[in-house]
Amino acid sequence: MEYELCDLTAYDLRYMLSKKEISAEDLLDSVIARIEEVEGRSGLFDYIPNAAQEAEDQSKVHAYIAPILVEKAHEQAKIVDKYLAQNEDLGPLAGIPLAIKDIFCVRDSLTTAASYILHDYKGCYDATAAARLREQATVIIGKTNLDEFVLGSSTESSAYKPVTRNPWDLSRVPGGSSGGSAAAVAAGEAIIALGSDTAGSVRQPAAFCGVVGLKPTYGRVSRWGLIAMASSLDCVGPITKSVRDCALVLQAIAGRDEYDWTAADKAVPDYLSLLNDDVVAGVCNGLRIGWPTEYFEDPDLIDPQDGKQILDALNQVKQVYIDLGAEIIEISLPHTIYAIPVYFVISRVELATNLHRYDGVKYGHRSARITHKLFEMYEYTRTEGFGEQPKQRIFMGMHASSARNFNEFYDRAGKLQILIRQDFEKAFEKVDVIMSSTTPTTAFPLGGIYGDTVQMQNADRLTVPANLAEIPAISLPCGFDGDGLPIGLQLIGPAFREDLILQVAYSYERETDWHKNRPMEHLRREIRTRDI
Amino acid sequence: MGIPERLRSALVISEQHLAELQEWAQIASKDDKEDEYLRIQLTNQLAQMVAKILDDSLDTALADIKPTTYGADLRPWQAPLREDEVKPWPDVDTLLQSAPHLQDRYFVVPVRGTRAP
Repeated sequence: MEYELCDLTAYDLRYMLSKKEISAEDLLDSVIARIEEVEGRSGLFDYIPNAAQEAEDQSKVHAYIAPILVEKAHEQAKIVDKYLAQNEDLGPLAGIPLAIKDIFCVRDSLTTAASYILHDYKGCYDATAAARLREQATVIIGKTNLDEFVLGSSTESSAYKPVTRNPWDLSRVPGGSSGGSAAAVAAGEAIIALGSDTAGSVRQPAAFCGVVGLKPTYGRVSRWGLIAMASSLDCVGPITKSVRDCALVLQAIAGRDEYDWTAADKAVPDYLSLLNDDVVAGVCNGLRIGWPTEYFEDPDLIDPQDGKQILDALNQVKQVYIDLGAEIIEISLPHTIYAIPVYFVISRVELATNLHRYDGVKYGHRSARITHKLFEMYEYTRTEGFGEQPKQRIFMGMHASSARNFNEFYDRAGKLQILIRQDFEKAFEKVDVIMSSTTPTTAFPLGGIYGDTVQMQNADRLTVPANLAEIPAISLPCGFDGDGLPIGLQLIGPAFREDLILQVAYSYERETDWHKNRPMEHLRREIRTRDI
Repeated sequence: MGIPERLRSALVISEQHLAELQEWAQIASKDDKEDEYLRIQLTNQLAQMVAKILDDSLDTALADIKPTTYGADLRPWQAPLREDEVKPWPDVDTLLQSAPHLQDRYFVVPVRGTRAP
């Protein structure tokens, strides 16, 4: 296929910008043209389409939750061009168009968390990750759609419709909760994006949309300004078109932050220089890669029938690594089967606590119903403001943390979390990294499982163990299924070894072409068909 | 081996218990249809998810694990806890602009007839 500027990687574009082969405005124009071609209208709370609008909506991606920030983006691009013309070094991401999941506070921009309860809330400050990317002179294009308060794996629970669609097949979900960010990057509506990952919300949509997504070690990136879901598990991560782009973004956002004491006081390696071709050439020679038998043999984790094409793709990945000199070693992660139930309890208890701050007093929605009773005002506000997913998770969190259940639910889940973490610690005594697929299936149809909260939660069963163990994991493209849907490879490393999983991921990427595929040919065909 | 008898009732959300949770959460019942959906989903979640960690076959494995207060142990790489000191925010007026109801730079809330939580 013929690439346009918006289809290229940040790594290649930064070279073209520095050599003045293109300007930041040229690049922005390309991205905006792509948005005009494929995006469609952005999110509405009172979404009641007529038949014609519905047909139109079904033919577009809808990655962004609100109209893109065209004027501000042009202003930023012009400033970048001005400095580049004076040969100023603005950093490796200068002029690169960036999309930000609408769970991050961004100064003077609506920050809704895809919930009606924050429908009119404007960020008063930049989240640290957004601020650090702004300091790098990226061009912020807009905020992307997500599941309401990140509660879901398909982006369907957003209060703002039309729903985001998968650019590889518009009848499929983009994954979630960072579905808008992954769809935007895949479709060339942004070059890089920020997401958040509490149970797989960066990696699963990256896998479904055929792009790269990284969940760093808990504490590698500050959570300041990230609207909290489960505070002990939430991680900020990049979604990009290549592993090197992922390194560029991580480099910019990682490190200590005085506003978040859980952000690690630990030096940040030069990730990009570690991906130098000469350095990476020998990385896999003698590398020990763990092959967790449960992930490949337990039908509760990957169904041998539904997941056959994924398992086949993983076997091909295995061969690539063997050819590069790696050793594949079978390992066991016996408590993995408890990861979803453990996550289920811990995340809901923390979520119920975090969502109590939405009471209609300091910010966000307040019910217009007249009352002279404070607690009635809270009740009216929260009933109107929250959708079904936050409500049921708040109820479960309160049930699990109530005095009569706390010891048997939350306390026990916390102990099991330690066993899951110990599984990984033991595994990393024998191997350097662990490989699996990112997801048990490829992207499922819109409406396919939405509403069934147990099935939806199970979509995260291969990603959530890394969150509970607080260790880094990356997803990158490793093939397509028979329906042309991307398959994701997951690589998991020990705490703070983002450098290693990036190197191992890049070693694979260098040997294959999966990451070079773009959905545009397919997307344009689908748009034409639906227009007819 | 299985779920201890004393815990079985905690794995079902009755209409009465849903009403209790709604009161605790300060989220009212919207309509019967939503209540039914929530009750069924919550009960399914308890039966298919939470029940797995209550199984008494895990008791031995968990016996020597000390409970933690923060999901996992506090992490050695964290920055030391800073002093809990109040620092003024540089732009209070911008923060206040987000409030749904404000008077003379104070949040306004209903006060009369407030019931106990």
